[in-house]
Amino acid sequence: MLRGIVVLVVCLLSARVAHAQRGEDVDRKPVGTSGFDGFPGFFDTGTVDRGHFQADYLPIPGLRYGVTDEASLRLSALPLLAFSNSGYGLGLELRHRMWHDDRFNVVGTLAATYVNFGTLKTPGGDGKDDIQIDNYAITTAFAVVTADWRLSKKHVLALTALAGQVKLGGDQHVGVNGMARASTSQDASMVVVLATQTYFVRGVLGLQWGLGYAPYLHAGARGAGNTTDVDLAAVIESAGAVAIVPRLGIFVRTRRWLMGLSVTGIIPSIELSQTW
Amino acid sequence: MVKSLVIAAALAGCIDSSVPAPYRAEVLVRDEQHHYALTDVDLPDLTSMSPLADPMLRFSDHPNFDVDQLEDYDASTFDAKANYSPRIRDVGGVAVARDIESLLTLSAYNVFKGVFARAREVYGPIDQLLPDGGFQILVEPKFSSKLGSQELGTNAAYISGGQAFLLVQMSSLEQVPLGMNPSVLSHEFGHHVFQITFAVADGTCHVNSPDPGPTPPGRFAGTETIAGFNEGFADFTAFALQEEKHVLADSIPALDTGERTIDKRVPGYLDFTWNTKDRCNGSFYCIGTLWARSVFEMYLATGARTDDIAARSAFARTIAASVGGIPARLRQRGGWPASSEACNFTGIDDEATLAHAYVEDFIAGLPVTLQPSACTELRARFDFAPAGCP
Repeated sequence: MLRGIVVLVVCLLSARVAHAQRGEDVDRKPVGTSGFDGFPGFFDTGTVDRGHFQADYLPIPGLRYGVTDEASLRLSALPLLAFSNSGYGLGLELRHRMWHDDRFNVVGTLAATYVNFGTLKTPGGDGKDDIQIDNYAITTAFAVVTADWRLSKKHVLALTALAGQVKLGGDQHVGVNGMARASTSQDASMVVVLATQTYFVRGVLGLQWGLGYAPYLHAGARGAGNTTDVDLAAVIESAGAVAIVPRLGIFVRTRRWLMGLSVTGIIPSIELSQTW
Repeated sequence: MVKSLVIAAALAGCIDSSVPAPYRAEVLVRDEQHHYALTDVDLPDLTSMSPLADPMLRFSDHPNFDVDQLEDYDASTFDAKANYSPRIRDVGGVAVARDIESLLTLSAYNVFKGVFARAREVYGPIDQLLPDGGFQILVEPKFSSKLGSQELGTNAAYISGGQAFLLVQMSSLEQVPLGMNPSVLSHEFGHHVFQITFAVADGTCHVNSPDPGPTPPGRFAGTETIAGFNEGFADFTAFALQEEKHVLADSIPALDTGERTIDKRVPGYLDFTWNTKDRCNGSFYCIGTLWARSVFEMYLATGARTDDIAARSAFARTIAASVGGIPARLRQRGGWPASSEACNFTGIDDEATLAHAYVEDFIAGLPVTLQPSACTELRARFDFAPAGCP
């Protein structure tokens, strides 16, 4: 009996060594499941399986493809609409699961968008010249890292750090008969940290709440050599407040669909995604 | 490897040459036809190229000012030593700028020297015309506070009471950089002349002063109406010093709507009066333009040619003397509303009241030989009958 146990232990140990010698990652453990699996969002660690697709219909349409088990690539659909107005654009998002074990995930996301709308022209009002801006473009760039702790299949705590910038601008016609051009732009730069807690009832109904804090929140405007930079976080602080925003969300998921309503600060969002 | 390091260092600006004194530099120079060209010039007064300074001008390198601490500024706020060094290379003993900013700053230095020389000729013995401590030139300054920061562009400026000039970032709108345009810098110097005449007579308000009442120091200079007359005086100074009739014409013709032109004979001149000044988009500048146009026509009415520097000088001194006496006459009028807060002098709601008073007190300070034309021109543009005029 004792000899049998010893043989069994030796066999088990040797089997594990052999497993490692085949070059596989002995640390790889199954990723703990959560309600967002298969539906990646900005504030979670969801991923798309290799060879699968996710279509986002709301709020920002796009198509994501699982390149590997750890990485996915998303093409945003909105920038493509610029081609219909003699403009052009491209929006890409690369998401990579950087580390995980059976309870913890760390996912990094790089997202960038450039959309050139061509020429925008709006009436000047009060008999003034029309406002015309050439090469009117929006540029966004974000780097996001989200770590979550999957307490159970139903219960997830997540912490997201986001840094990025949104910039609008173009070459505005100014002066008499618009004969001069002034490069003008407005931008917002931010670093945001958001902590959320999500609970999925029966894996179908997700309830999420969280708090976000923006330690760095700047708005800038540039034009004709003038540069103005406003520290919005300091402005909020000077008003006796703190740049903390709540987030509330409710989600319903099926095997193929995720639907959600959320509010981050005062910004509402409707989310609708499909995966296959 | 060494070659790469040298190239990298040169690109980084680490290998700036120095040039020996007496200094010569390649700068942008305007000729009489208002053409601008790179020209080698002597800079005999320059005592230091790095940092750029002479006894009258100290150049400050991208200084950062805390706006919260500028509320009660005076000349001592801007008394820092020079620390701006143009990036140059020595080409046969001539300082040649390595970049646009250095070229413009060296050019501005040369233009300022010309403006000062002409100001001495025109205004002569006015006290503090060129202050003992000289001026600080702020090269592309940044104004910041806890809530943000601002850098200016497409402009040049004089800091009233600060004895400092600003050279800001140029932009794509400038055909000729504003900061080295002799007419523009003469306009800015005109603000200094207004400062040492009108504003000094008006007095300086300090934010910590007690309840100011109706006519405390600085009561009038802080109003938007007087700011408009200040702009007009500066445009007139550009005429007195440079025979300039439109200070922005060389630099930003694309923005020229004709509303700043002081000579109605110039093509594109936009005519307007006090009652039709909505046609002018320059807000309070438009008030000053009405005044400057009137004074220009007064000058022509003397029969003098515009290119007669002696006549312009005598006329400019007469105008400055009258302007310097206006604050005392405004005070004598009495009846001004008290402002509710120290140095917040926006309380004269009826700008016509102050404008009319300014015009009348300006006429009152003129020699009797000039008063008839002053009455005619100012009445025509300000749409009222000044007291004391026939």
